[in-house]
Amino acid sequence: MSLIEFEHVNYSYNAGTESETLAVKDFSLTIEEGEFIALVGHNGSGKSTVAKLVNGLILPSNGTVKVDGMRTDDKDKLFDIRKTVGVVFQNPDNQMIATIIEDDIAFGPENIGLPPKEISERVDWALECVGMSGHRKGTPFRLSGGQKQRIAIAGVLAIKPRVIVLDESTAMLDPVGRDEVMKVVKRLRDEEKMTVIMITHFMEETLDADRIVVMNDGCIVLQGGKEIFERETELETIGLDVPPIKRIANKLRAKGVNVADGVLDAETLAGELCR
Amino acid sequence: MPIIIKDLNYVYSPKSPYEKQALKNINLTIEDGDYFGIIGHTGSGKSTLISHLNALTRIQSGSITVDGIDLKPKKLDYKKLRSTVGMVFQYPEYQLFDETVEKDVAFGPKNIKVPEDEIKERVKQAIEMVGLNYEKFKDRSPFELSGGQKRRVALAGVLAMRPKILVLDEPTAGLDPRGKREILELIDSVKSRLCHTVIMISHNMDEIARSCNKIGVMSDGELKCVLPPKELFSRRDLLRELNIKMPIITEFANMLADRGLDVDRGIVSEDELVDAIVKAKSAVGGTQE
Amino acid sequence: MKDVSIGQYYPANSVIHRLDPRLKLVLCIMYIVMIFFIQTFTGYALTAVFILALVFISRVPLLKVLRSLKAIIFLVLFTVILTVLFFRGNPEDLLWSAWIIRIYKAALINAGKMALRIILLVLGPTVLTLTTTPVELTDALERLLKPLSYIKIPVHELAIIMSIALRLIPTLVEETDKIISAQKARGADFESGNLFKRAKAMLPVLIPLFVSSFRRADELAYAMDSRCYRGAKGRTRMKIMRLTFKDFAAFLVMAAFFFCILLLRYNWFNIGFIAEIIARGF
Repeated sequence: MSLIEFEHVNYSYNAGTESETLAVKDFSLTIEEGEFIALVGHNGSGKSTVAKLVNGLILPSNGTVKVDGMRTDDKDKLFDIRKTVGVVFQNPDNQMIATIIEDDIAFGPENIGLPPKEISERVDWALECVGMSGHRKGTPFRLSGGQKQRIAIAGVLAIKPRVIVLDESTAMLDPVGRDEVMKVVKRLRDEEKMTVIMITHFMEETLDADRIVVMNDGCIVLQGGKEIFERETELETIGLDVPPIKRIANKLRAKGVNVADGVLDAETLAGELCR
Repeated sequence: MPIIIKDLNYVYSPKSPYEKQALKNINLTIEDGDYFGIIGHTGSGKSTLISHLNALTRIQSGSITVDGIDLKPKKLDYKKLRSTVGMVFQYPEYQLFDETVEKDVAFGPKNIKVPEDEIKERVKQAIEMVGLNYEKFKDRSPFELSGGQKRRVALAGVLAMRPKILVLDEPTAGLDPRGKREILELIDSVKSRLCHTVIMISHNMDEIARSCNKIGVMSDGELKCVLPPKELFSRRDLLRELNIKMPIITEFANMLADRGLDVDRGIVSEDELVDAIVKAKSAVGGTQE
Repeated sequence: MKDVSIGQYYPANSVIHRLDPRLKLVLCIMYIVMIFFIQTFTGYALTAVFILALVFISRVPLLKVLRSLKAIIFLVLFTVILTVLFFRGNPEDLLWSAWIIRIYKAALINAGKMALRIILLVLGPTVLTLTTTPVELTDALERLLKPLSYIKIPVHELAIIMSIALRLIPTLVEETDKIISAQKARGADFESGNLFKRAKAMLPVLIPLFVSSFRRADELAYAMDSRCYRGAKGRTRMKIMRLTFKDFAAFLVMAAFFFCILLLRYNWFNIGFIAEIIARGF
């Protein structure tokens, strides 16, 4: 059994009205424990709808979503599903419910009814995971975007989910903030062995993923490892970029410079060019 | 006429425990026709600086003239000023409010008392300038558009005032790669057709390097330097001191230069870099043969 | 306005700041009830000394406390003037009269007492809010009112609404500033014209603000659901509120003072003579 299973999922917004739009079409995807999946697509491709389907915030119009064998449309299982899958959203300002950081991070563990001492330990642990230990008693208002988003991640981590979904959690951040968040995500994968679903439109952020799933118009159009970056024109027609280094390599090859296929990072390309 | 800023200082909540000097002795001239980039970290004073340009923030000390208008006097001709300097804030789509796209775009011109028949013409031109079909969009509610379309409508709302100077605060924030590219191209075309001078705040060094002919670096309320992109991004010491990332292209050019390939360290455009590499490689190849 | 979320809280490290917020709330209520038992200037004087002592212990600058009285200055003046003008006492008490205005001695005394009562009444909650954050207060209220949830009063829900409001107000204030700037940049004028015109001019600010508040509320709801929120059911709290020795001590002090006021009022054990001595002292 896979940890997360989407089977032929359809989802439409405003169902039954004339503005009904099918956001996700016949979407099937399985994710194994410990995988780092990058789900990419342009704005409006349906990728954020997938994030809300994973933990039953919205229910499929057709098809099923299962988390660790539990169906998201089974009301009795919803609470356990949300303990298993945590979602971090785009705007950190809209995810915080308390004025003091420790109270905010404690919100999740309080909801699952842990004893006070354990909640407090988890707050410490979660803050350390995101590198914000010094801010426990502070307020989120004066923090930078990247710091706020790390607090939001800590709020989800404190529940100790097995899966963390980042729903465009870097889209509103400046490059420094994005780097901060990406570092945390990598750490969660490597050290905490968490399953990560990274939803993004920045191709650079998919480079560390085990599997890249490309969505367009509610459907999966491409899926695989880094070899999908070879499909530059295909990606461009659906509004996505290949990483800039890859683009340079392709242009060089077109001009007759000898560059191997599959080069994605600066280090390797520089190595090839400066032999 | 240029924008001239002299000895500008600004203090937030003076004489309180929260007192903070947001701008320290800024001296800056932005020439007609400049595409001026402003970079700096959150809280470095960028936004305070630009909000002075159309007197949303009033001068505490120092002086500013914008296109010949002195911003110092207490009584200002706001209508004239705000039709000279168009300002597009971050996430401008969150400021849309009217029933239809047409009405929303007409809000600015109406406020500055443009004659009724001219408003219509301006609105049409502005909507088309941002790449939307006027007939198709004019009667739609701005709230039912997609994110990218909303942003264009918001931009049209500013362009309909026909400003000579366009100020943009992170115009591409939150957009996907295609959306970003389209907005930047749009700004290029606006610059050639309507707003001769463009000032843009951005955190994205690649965008700044691509678009601007001059870049001002703000840090801790001070204007640290004003340089053309190539010069700025080739000065590694300065970038390190100010904690500024290079554009990805420049970073790669530097990596190659470090390893002995003869490419310019200040290169900011992809095609230029590709050409430089081809040239350097063939030169190396040539001497070997 | 920006700092609504911290209210008028004045951070300091005093015994009063560290008291259990639930207890502080109870003591504040006791204090308010007590004020209504006071009838003599002696009582008011004692209470004034008492509350000033509290301010001193709390290490909040006196000026800060007095500033909170600014808001009620009109109420006090209004009450005083009305009482003085319209109070009808015994003819032998008449101090001064002209036209239809008659001022009695009892009116002055009454007005003075009324003013003192209002001022002292306000000082209690002021000390409470200066030494307790709104978050602590909300929390304390939720815990104190918890028994009411057994009679189906949604105490937890009310408390969470309150704390989310406290959390969102600064964000919305900031957003309002941004929208105002943006519309001003499009030539909007919020300052001129009559009231109706100005109200209409606010629409381009209010509509985007509403739209974005709904959007935020939606996203917040998703975020709360994602973090396993299901109301009060099965919910525990990280912070335990536990009454300690200092809380009992504080309670005893307040109770003792209340008792003194009652003694004065009802002249229990015939201690009226003490009050007289005190009064003469003043």
